[in-house]
Amino acid sequence: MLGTEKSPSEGKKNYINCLPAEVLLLILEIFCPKSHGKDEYKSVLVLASVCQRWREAILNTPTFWTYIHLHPRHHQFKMYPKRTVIPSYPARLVLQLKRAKSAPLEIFWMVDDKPHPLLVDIIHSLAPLTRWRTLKLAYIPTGETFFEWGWGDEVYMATLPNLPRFTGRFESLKVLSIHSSHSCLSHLINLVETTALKLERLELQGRSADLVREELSNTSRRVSKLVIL
Amino acid sequence: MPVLLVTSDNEQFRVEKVVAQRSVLIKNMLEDVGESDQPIPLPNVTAPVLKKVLEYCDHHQTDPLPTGDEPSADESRKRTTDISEWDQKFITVDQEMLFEIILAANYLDIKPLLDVGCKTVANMIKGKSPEEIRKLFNIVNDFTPEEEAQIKKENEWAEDR
Repeated sequence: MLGTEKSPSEGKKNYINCLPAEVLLLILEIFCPKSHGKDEYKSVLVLASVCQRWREAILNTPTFWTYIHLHPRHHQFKMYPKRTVIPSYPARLVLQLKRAKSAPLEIFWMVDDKPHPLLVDIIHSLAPLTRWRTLKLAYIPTGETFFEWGWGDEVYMATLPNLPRFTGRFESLKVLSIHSSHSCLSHLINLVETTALKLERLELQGRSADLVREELSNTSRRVSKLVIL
Repeated sequence: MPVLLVTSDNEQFRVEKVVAQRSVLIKNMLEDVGESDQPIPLPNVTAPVLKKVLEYCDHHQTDPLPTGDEPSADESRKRTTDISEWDQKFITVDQEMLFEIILAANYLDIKPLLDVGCKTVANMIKGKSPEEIRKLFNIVNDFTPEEEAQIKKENEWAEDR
C-alpha cells in the first residue's frame, strides 16, 4: 500500500477529474466557508484557480460565496487615520453577491465611516434583507458626535454618519449580533423589531447593550438565545 | 444468511447480509428480490475495490445506519475533515485505489465511506497552492489568458479584504 501523499510524479493519470461532477463537488464543498475569515475565502479562490472544471463547480455553487463583508475600507487600526476605500469595492461585492445567487446570506458589517454611495443600491438589487440569515454589525461610534479611540498616546477622533436606510424585511434573519452604541441604529432596530420574526439568537455588546436591548424589547422576548456581553 | 456478490471482473464474494447491507444499493436490491440465492451483480466495481469496500463494511457493520434525512449530519460532514484512526489506516492507499473506493462508495451508496474518501482528498488538498494541487493530481492548467487575468485580479482583491 502506498501513502495518499505520494509524490506527484508517481501517478500519471488525473484520477480526481474522472469523478462525476457531484462527487467532485462533495470534496470541494468541504472547503465552503463557515465564517468571514479571510483564509477561508482565499481557500475557495485557490480551488477556483486549479482548472476550468473546478472553477466552474465553485462559481456555480452559491454556498461558496455567502459570507459577505459589507465594509468598503481597510480596517488596520494602526493605519486608521490614513484608511482608504478598497479600490476593488464595490466590484468585488457585486461579483460575490451575483455568485451567491439566491442563497441565504451571512453579513458582516463593521461600520466605521460613511457607507459607500452605491451600497444601498447594491443591497436592494442583489442582497435584499429577506435573504440575510445572519447580521454581525459592529458600529462602535455614535451618529454625528465625536468619538475617541486608540491606545497608548495615540487617540484619534472622527465624526460618523448614520447607517443608510435600507428598506425590506428581515424575514430569514436567524442571528443578529450588534456591537455598537445605539443612537445610530434606530432605523435598523425598528426594522428588526417589526420584521425579524424568526430571529433565534441576539447578541449585544458594547457600552449601550442594555439600551439596545430596551429598544429591541419585543425581539428580546421572542429569541431563544439572548447574549449580552 | 450470506449474500453472493459478483464483480465486473466476474469474481464472487460471499458475505454476511449485515455486512452487504451497509450498501444502501445492495440493501434495496435485497429487499426487492426478497429471500433468494440469486447472485447480485455489481457491474461498476472490480474485485480488488470490492474487497477493500467489504473490509470497511465489515469493520463498521454495527455502526448505526444513516437514515438519509439528516441535514444536520450532512452539515457536520462538510464542517470537519476529521477521520478516525482505523479509517485513516484503511484509506491509506494509492491515488488510483482511493478514487476507485470513492467511486464505489458513491455507486453502492455507502455514505460514511464516501465521506471518508472525500475528507481524505480534502486533507490532501488543504494548504496547497493551485500549482501544488495540479501536480498532486496531475491536473492540466486549462485556463485561457483571459481567465488567468480574472483569477489574478480576484486574488489581488482577496488580499484587500
